[in-house]
Parts: sequence; C-alpha cells; structure tokens
Amino acid sequence: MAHITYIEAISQGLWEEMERDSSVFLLGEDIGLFGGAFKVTKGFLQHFGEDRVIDTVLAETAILGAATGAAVVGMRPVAEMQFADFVTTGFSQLVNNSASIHYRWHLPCPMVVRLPSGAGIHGGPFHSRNPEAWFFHQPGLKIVAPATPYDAKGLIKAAIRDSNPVVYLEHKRLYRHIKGEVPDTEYIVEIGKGDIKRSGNDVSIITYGSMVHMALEAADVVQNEYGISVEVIDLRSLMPLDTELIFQSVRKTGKVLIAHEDNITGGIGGEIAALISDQCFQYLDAPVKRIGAIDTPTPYCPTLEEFFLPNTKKVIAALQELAAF
Amino acid sequence: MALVDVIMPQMGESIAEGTISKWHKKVGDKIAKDETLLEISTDKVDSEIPAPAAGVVAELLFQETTTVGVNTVIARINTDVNATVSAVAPLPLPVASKAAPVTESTPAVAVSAPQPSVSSGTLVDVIMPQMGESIAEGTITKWHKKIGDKIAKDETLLEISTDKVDSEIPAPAAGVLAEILFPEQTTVGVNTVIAKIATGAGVIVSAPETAPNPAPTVETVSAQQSITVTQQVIHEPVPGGRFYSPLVLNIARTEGVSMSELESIPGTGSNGRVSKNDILTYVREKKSGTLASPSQKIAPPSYSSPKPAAPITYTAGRVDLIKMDTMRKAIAEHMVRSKHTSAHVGSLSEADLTTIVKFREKNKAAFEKREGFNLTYTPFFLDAVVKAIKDFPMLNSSVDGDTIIVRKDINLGVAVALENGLIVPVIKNAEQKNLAGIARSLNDLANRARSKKLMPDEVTGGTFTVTNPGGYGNLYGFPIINQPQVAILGVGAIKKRPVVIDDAIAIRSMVYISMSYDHRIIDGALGGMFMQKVVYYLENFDVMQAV
Repeated sequence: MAHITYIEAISQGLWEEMERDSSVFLLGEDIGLFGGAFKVTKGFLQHFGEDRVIDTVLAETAILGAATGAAVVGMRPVAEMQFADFVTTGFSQLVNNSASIHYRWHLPCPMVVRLPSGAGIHGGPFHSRNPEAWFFHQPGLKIVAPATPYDAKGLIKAAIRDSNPVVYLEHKRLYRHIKGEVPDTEYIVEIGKGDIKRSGNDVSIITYGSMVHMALEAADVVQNEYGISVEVIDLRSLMPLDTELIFQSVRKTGKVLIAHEDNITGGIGGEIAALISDQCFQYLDAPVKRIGAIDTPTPYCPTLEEFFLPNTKKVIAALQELAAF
Repeated sequence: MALVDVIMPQMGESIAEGTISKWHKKVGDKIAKDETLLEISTDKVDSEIPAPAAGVVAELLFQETTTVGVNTVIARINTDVNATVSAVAPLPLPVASKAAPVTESTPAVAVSAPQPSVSSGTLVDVIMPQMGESIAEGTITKWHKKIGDKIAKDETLLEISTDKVDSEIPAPAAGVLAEILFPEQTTVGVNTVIAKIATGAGVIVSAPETAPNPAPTVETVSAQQSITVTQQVIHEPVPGGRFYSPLVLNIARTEGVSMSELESIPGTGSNGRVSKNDILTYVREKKSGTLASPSQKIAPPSYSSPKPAAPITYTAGRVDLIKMDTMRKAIAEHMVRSKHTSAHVGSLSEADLTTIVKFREKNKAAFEKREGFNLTYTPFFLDAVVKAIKDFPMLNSSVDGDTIIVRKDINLGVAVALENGLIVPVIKNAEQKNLAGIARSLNDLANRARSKKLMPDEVTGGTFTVTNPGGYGNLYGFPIINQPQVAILGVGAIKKRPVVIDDAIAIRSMVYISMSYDHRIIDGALGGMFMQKVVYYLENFDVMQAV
C-alpha cells in the first residue's frame, strides 16, 4: 500500500492506463511541456511522447470536439479542462455531440473530460465552479466525483475504460490536502457504486467530493459531543447514482442530510431529495435537508468565500437540527 | 306534558350553523331514545342526529334544507307516553323543557313552574354560553331583566361568571323575557337553557306574581352528549393536531399501535414530536410489558385550597363572612396549584430607566394626542421582555411530563388588577408588534378587562406573564408563575435613586425587576442571563424609534 496524495492518485491512474492501452491519449492546455496547471501530467510528455500528450490551443470547444472525434474512431482520449469553469466554452461539443453519439449512431464514445473543480482556494468566480448539475441534467453522460486517493485512482481508470463520455470531477482543494492508502496492485472502482465511508444509525449524510471530508469530521464531532450516530454515504458516482445504497441508508436512519459544495438551487441534491421522498417516504422521520453553497457567484474574498461555502460547522448544525427533530 | 328540546348540535369548534337535510320522523311519530330523528349537514360533517329522549315528536320547527344556528331548538319531543299531538297544534307557551330520564311506565309529570303567561309569539331559548374551550359551567351573577320586561336584541340580559372570565350575556333576540329558569348565583352547565324570550308581534306578557325562585328542575336535553358520541363514531380518530412523520405512522401501522395510543406517547422531538426512537421504545416496552398503562398512571393531585388542620373558630358577630366569588376561587385554586406544580425560584435585578423615562416624557403628549390614550411604562417592559425571549426562547415554554414545549408564539399575559381580584389578558403574538402596537393592545385589553368585556380567548394561551408589583409604589414583588408557563416577571416602582456610574454618584430613574421561574427547566444561569437581557434592552432602548 502506498500513502499518496489525491493528485498523485490521478496521475498514477492516468499513467497506468496509458501504459496498459495505447489508444489512451491526453489533450489539453499546457498539459505537456508545462505538465498541466496543477502538474497532474508532469513528466507524461517525456515518457509518452507528443503524439499521446498533446498541448492544444486555448479553445475548449476544439479540445472537446477533437476528443469526441477521436473517441468515435476508436481512441480513448482524456481531455483536461484547465479549470472546470472553462468547460462552458466547450459545452455544446459535450452535451450536444459527445452525449448523443451512442443514441444517434450506435457507436461508443469512450472519452474522459477531467474537470479540476471546486472552491475554497480563493479562486473567485472563474476558478471555483462545481459544474456537475449542468451535466447531471444531460442524458448520455456519466459523472464521477472522487473524494479520496483510492477512489480518484480507481475511478479515473474506470472512466478511461468506459465506453461512454465520462465527466471526471477532481476537486482542486483535495489535490494536495488529502492523502490516503492506494493498493500497489491493479484495481478499479466501478462507476455507479457509492461507498459507506462511515456507518451510523441516526442520520444519513449523502455527499460526494470535498464534502465527504467535512461530513466525516462533522460526524466525529456530533458522535463525540452529542452522541449522534451519523452514516456518511460517499456517492463517488453522480451519474448513474447508486440509488440502492442511498435508499438502504435512509431506510435505516430515517433522517437525511444531502451535502454538496455546489450551490443549493438546482443542485443535484434536489434530485436526490426527490428520489428519497418518492421511494422512501414511509421511512422518513424528518424532512430531507440539504446543505450547499449559497446562490451567488463564488466570492474572491476569503471571508466571504468562507461564508458562501458549506463547511464542517454548518454540517454539524444541520445534523443537530435533524437529530433533534 | 314534558317536552324535550332537540337542538342543532355544534359539530365542531368553528361550526356556527347546520342545515337540516332530512327529517326521519314527522310530527306525531313515536321515536325511541337514540333513534335517528334527522340528518344534518354542516361545513365539516354530515351527521345523523339521534333523539335525546323517547317519546312522540311534538314539533318540527324548521323545514328540510333550512340552515339554522347551532344551539337553536329545532324540534321538541313529548316524553309523555300518552301524548297525542296533532300536527298543527301550536305549542302551549311557555313550557319548561324537561329531560329527566323517562321510562315507558313513568306517568306523565307536569312541570310546575311559576309561569308567566305569554299570549303569542315564538319562544327563543337563552342558553348558558360556553365561554372557553375548557369551560363546562357558568354562574348566573345578575339578571338585568325580569320576567315580562321588554328586551332588545343584543341588550344585556344577564351577567355570568366562569372560571376564566366574567361576562355580560346579550339577548339573542328582541322580545319579551318570558321565563327565567335559574335564579342568581346558580351554577349551570354550558348549553343549558337558562331563559326564554318570547318574540313576534303582539306578544303580551303578564308578569307572574313572584319571580320563579327556586327555579324548577329544568335541564336541557342530553342531545348534546349523545350527539357527541355519534360524532366520534363517524369520524376517524383525528391525531389531535400533532405531527407524525411518515416513518412513525408506518411503524405504528406495522406494530399495531392505534392512533389514540400514538397520541399518548410522549414525544422527545421538536415541539414534542414523537420520533422514531420514541415509538420504537414504546413498542419495545409494550411488548416486554414494562409500559405503564394509562390506568396505572398516577392521578394528578387535587389542588384545592388546603383545609386548615384545626377548625378556625370565631365568634358570630365579631367577624364578617365573605363567600368567595368565582374569580376568587379560581385565583386561589390556580395559585396553590402553581406552587404545587413549579419549583419556584427567584432572581432580582435592577435597570436604569432614565433613557426610557426621558423618551416617554418627550413623546407622551404627541402619543396621547394621536392614540387617544396615555403611554404608560408597561409597554416598554413588555417590548424588552419580547426581545429577551427571542434570545432565550426557553423562557417561553411549558413543561409536559418530561417534555419541554418551547413555544414560538410569544403571547404575553399582563396582570390587570380589578376591583375584587385580577385577570391576566394576553397580548397574542407580541413578537409581531412594535412598541406602539404593544401599547395599543395593552390599552385595549386592560380597558376591556376592567369593563368585563374580555373574550375567553383573550385570557388564555399566554406563554409568559408580566405583572406589576410596583403599581402601588412597592419596590418589587415575588410573583407566582401563571401555569402552564414557566416564568413571570414583576416590574417594581420606578424611583429616582443615587447610583454610582464610573465612580460618580448620579441621580437616575431606577427600577427593580424580579422574576419567579420554574427551576425544573430554567436554572439560575439561564434565568439570570434572560433578566440581564431584559435589563440590557431597557437600558439600551432605541430613542430614535417612533412610537
């Protein structure tokens, strides 16, 4: 077992897949010579050569269009958006073209779009997006959002091997803050499977990405200080959702907090809440609660950003409220 | 002959009238007790109304599809087994209705009341009104009219006194007072017919020689009771306004816990909600037989005024014997019960009221000119209390067994001294009122308290009480909690005193604030913090606000 950072886990996964399958190649802005804005692909150009590690023009629509074309003719491209925020300029390629290839042509479209996403790094409105809800709404795409090095590596490998376009959300703040055990042997994490990160009886937190860590911290605090037993479900995959795991947990605890860093309104927490009330109504002992960022652009000012984002304290308060209901 | 009135029942608290949809009997028909006499339809339910007594239908006073007010007499049953009634026979008037249990073999009993004679017209019953949800009876304190007097609709006919309020009862119709069925100082159940007014043109009344005293044993009909029973059969049990989560209802269904059992389970969730754990604990205890059945529960102790150990002796002529009136008895019972219920603890604090005194001086003339009444200090205290309750909502609560009911509405009771007692009208939702709004509500309630014009709803539902031991110049008092509240705050007299401010002696307008609170749930720390907040809001009064 190696103890590595979240960003190292992504790099390892990419590297291993490129070693394993020559149809896998990378493209993106500054990913080659520069090694990527966050150095995920540092050293890749030197090892795999410029045919497989392509520095592109500064044009997301070109990157995603090229990736889609390559996928259609049998390659397995992994496109990096320098910041998830910039995927918007390539939006049409992804939602109109990539997402509908299989529907229209009965062809696989095995491509991965890596989105360095998330706030909490004082990146301001253009470098802090959590864009999952846009893609969640688009049939034909898969979405994964790992929270740990283990899941980051297992999911990047699964995404590369998948026959569908996969949006891979990697949280920038986790890159170097989170370390974890990763097996030395080959493994993948199946897309569509969530994970019980902590087992509990009183309240379920359904979450993913960076919020998994706040949920776990909050669960520790409320267990120790108030005796509230919290179950933390890490979705890992947002599309498809592991609904069975969610429902199992809700049936056990009867109280649910859905937590995501993306802002509340129109966030995927709303969809999860609707599924729960539809499928688990008679198991609910409290209203389904959501926690997320407030509905504004991400503030640059650290104080305002802290106010804007959900955090461990806010999760604790929500858990107390639910437990007391 | 003995006639039993059938009245339009009140099929729900907010129901004021009902429509007669079908008569099952016609005049002259025999009817057994509890046999369906008619069907009615109201805003909430349709219902079959059973006969309150066995007998022969003597009168049907309204046609089908007629809508009549609740408590209106809609039919009369002659309980005299030998009665023969012709369909058109006008009812001999006036007649006291009688509802003594009648068996088939009972000979007809003529009710012998001193009867004034009224030549024609219809009789309208005056009933003892229900002056509040929990009020079962009222005492007739004064008849304003005597038999034969003319009376206008809504003119005061009598005064009554109940556990909660004293009230003047207006005449339900214009006419002539035909019968007074109970003398003054009689206590009768609510909805009992207490008088009858003859209405209609050409009513001629000859007053009887003497007032009907004592009143004949007249009781209205048990129709109300039997109908209540019927109603319960018709309805699904209603979960008493308590919220149950889907999960709790689901567990109740799976485990065979009835709705009434569910209602008996103490809830530990917010607002006393029964949580998953509560019902699971209940089910577990029920299965293991450790559950206390309702009959095993300890009966609440009675809190009547304790009898002295030795009889009190006195020499006749050397004492005055004063019979306690209803209000005095109610106060006595309530105060003793409160002391038995709550663990009273007290704190005393003082506030510098100089800012408020100056503010009031500056604004009172304009205020009185605009509002038509004097701006007193009490609203300032109430305003500060409301703000402090918002900071410490636990002070605005009740204790129910091992559950604390923290209330979100702040309904402030304010003790108002009356000539022979006191009453505590309630400013509902004081948290939604500003200072002027509180002043207006207080002025209105206090005025009507003194003129006995309060409605029952206005003296109930309080969540916190403020009283004014300073009203007669005293510095402070030690009030008793107004159950089921948990705290009562007493405001002393505002006096100028020398006080030390920053090592200088200044003359300031000072007031002592005392509070009695229930140590079962409010410890000294919380009580103290709350009082300091009251002091804070008084001393930091915003003089820029409009009043």
